[in-house]
Amino acid sequence: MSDLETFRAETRAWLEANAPASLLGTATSPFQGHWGGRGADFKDDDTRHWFEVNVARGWTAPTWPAEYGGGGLGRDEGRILYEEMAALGLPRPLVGFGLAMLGPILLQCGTEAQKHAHLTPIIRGEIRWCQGYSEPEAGSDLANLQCRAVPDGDDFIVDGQKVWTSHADVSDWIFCLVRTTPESKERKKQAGITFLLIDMKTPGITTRPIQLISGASPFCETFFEGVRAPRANAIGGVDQGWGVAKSLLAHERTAVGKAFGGGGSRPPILQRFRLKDHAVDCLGLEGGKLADPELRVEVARNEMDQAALELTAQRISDAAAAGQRPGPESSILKIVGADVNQARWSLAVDIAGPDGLGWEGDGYSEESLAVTRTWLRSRGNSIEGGSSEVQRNIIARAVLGLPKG
Amino acid sequence: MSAPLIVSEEQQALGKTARELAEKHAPLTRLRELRDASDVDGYDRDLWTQLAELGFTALPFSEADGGFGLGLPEITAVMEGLGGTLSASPLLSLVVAGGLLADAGTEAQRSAWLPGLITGEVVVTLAWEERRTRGEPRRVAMTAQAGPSEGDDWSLTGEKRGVLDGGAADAFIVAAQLPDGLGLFLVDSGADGVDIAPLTRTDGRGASDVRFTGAAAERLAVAPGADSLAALERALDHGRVALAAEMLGAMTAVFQTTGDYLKTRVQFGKPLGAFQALQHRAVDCFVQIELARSTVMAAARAEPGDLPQLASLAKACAGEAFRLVADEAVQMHGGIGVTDECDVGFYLKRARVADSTLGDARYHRARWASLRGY
Repeated sequence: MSDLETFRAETRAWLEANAPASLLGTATSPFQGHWGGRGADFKDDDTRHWFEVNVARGWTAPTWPAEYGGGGLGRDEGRILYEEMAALGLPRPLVGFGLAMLGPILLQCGTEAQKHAHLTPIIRGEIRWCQGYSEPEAGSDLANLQCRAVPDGDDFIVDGQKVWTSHADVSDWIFCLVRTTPESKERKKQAGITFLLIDMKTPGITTRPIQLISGASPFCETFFEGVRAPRANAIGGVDQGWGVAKSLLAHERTAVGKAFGGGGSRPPILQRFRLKDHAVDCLGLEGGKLADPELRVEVARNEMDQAALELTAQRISDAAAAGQRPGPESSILKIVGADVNQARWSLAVDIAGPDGLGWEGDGYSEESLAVTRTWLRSRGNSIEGGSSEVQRNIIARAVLGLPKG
Repeated sequence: MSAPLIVSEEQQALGKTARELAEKHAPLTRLRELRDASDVDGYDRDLWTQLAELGFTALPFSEADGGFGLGLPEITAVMEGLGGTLSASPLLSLVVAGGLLADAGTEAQRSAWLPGLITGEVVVTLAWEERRTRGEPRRVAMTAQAGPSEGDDWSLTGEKRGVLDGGAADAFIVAAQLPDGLGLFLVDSGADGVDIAPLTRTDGRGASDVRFTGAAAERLAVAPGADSLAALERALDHGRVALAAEMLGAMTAVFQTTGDYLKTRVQFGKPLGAFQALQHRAVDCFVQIELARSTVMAAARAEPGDLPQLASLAKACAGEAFRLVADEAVQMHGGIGVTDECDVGFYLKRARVADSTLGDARYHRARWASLRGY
């Protein structure tokens, strides 16, 4: 056996020996798991045990260097570990923005002091992070952000507002983009932005959850009034934040696209939802075919689009595993993922017919209410993390080489 | 675990050889010449000779049969390479009918036909579609009758519609119904009762209607209990994947041409490609091409049990993507796009014919649903 095959066999054996039986087969996407943080409660004792045995091996952050508490695995080994967890249907021992987004940035752009201060608490699930990018006047046009950070001794004083900060109300720290040099005619607005880390306990920060059309409130408005943050918490240098953020955004879009490859995020009750089973259940079969011929074609179209998306995600990871350079295809995942996910849930409501119209109450099953609310939530997929229109602008310029409009 | 979705360096090299061959010996002007000459065979004999000399005609056959024993990953690399210039050759017929003959022919049939197929000297094609089959072999209506003499001797009567490379064929493999299900038959194209009527189709390639009137036929080997329909489906699926790869090469090429045009054609004081309305539609074409590429790669590397579903996926995605890209290519070229002088029209026509060959996207969506049990 090659080294990697040996690693795979040993990993599988370790997972089978250490994963609680109650967690096997419960996860269908890499975004399911314990979120961590100062105030974090575990769902149950098995989830806590699963988290703790992984922290001990550094396997909450398998490819991060061991000196910070990470697993120290190579890229291929890390991929194999996640493949084996997925094969057993195990949730990730820890998920969140610290692991997925801030950590990679710190490893790339952070100073030694910054890495030591922040990587270990992320790995140990002690600090939950949120992301402060968008503002009321800086959505798709992110570089238009106005939240100010003015130097004051060794600190910045931050004043302004962020919006769409996911789970800000339950997060411990925020990584955000702030304007450290005012906009002027002489320089692009992308200059003068700093990537800054702020402790959410600092006086002057308030959060307000935003209720979505789905009824859920996963996002917040976050307000800063005279918030003091050490200058040492700037990542990648003062006024250098746009470059830092851009590399992170590319990372985010790939991650989001890959999540769609796995069927998109969905509430626990819909983890096992399959469009075709839903259609058979709601419409029935006649002569082995869905009783509604038009919906039959639409279900097939959505399943085939989903399959094409999954194969594209697989093609990207197989090419990376074989050491090939990433091709332009990775740029399409976010657009296609949003489209396919929105089409699935919209079609699921169509298929449900009268059962798809409920908002709450005993007149509707828990699952049909979840389908309807997931449809509503999915409308945001083509807006969040860079709208599909902005994605098209980026691909037109960066991949197709079309001239600037 | 299925094979990784990677095009190996060897496969890339094979595709590059095919592409360079097509660009040198079969540029689009050759298809134009074939069309303008109303060529009965509808394929490029010079290109076919070159393909045979390079051994491409031996690709689908096993080493035991005298071929190279390569599979769909290699065949799709070649088909994609040849697709860029819309080069016309009977390679698809070779993959489908040659594969079927190698798979289900009797020893006598195999030794009579395979050597010539491998050297490219003979052409055998599949005659299966009828006016109402529309991609579905179960809808074949033509029937076979037992012949006058004892033994393996059959007689075919009926008409097959739009037989690929029908004018160039030395023999046909014909699908016809028997009382106990579908049968496959070998018929010499020069036999009595075989009447070949060449068609002039929009894409300029060779196809014919073939009428059989009591034509003498031999049955392909069918072991007791073996299923001719399954053998035919397998050959068709190989053909669907190979054709989807050819379409991928064609749509990639016409998209490249269109992108170049968007960068150079100036209106309202700026290049067309600077207009966001066109940029976004160009991106949508790019997205569909990349999705189609993933499905073709997966279908070419499928385990046998997954082949039917993945072949339908690839053929449907390639069919819709090619048609979208060709429609947009014409639109984005503006007035010149609807002239015969401009090459993009050839891609538009080929997209339509290729989509409808071996089942169109609509058929394959329905087939996907059936294979998935709904």
